[in-house]
Amino acid sequence: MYTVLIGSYARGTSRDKSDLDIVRINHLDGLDRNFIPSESTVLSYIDYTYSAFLDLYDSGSLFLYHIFNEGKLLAGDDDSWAVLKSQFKVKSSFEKEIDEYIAILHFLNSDTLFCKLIFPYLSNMFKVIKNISIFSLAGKGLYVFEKRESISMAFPFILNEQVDALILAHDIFDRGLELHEAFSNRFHELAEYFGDSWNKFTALP
Amino acid sequence: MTMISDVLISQFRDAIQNPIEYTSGVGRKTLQAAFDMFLGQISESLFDGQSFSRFDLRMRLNSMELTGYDEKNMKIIGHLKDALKNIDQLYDKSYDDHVPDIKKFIENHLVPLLEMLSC
Repeated sequence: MYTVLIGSYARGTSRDKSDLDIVRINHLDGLDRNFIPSESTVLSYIDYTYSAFLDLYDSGSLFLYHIFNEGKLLAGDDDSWAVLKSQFKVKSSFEKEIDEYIAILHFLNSDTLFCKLIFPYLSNMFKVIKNISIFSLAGKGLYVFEKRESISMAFPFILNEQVDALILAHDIFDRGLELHEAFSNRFHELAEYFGDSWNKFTALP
Repeated sequence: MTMISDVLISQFRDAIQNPIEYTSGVGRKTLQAAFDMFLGQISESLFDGQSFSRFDLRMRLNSMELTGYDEKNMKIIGHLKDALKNIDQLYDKSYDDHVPDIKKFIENHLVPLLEMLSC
């Protein structure tokens, strides 16, 4: 049984509304209160059965590489975790994963009306672009898991404020973050931009 | 009320005919994206505007006045509420086997929704 902190809290880059991302391997116990920064912190659990974890381990999963390298073990046996970490070999080719996300990118833009559905469209575009970024950088041996950094590195033509707005749209749609009316027009323009230029994201960096 | 894109209808039809292909990997992710787009279109049709999140749409559906809709649209709204109540079956983040949950979501929610949308 292991509990591992990952994401922005593990990296020390958390913001006001960041989720506390916790990986639980082979158990579903709640997190010790001492590890929770405040009462308003949203906990986001990612759960693996031990057999699912081992399958990913054997396949050289990039996500496990992320857990081993950026994660902080909160509970579980340190020694056995260290052995797992030292013997893990991440795979080097991520073409299958990238092709899958490009297929979803095509789907999201297969109807010109989809980009008018601003929040579901931007939220899903964010997930696709983030994952294409992470996998294509990893294919070059660059392991960047912070979402802003990976998107900006993989697709430098996107402006920082566009990346921020894309992430915010995803947080509003997927995590129920409050929408401030002042930003509404920005999201509309952003959805139009991606609706017009989505093809650029199929050309890998 | 229900103006749903042909792309979504044919995606859902395929998921109903080949559910196993949609229980993992790219199939599951595409079904999730398709359902999000579907919720967006439903929201536009029902409220003449966007819902900002799945939760927002669920709240709006729960608090809407159910008058002025014909039987077909009332049924669609009912199926949609049920689907949103069980949305974790489709979007569950765990790395467990998703086959039973996705199959349940397709059978219990997508099938009746598509039936109503197609008639």
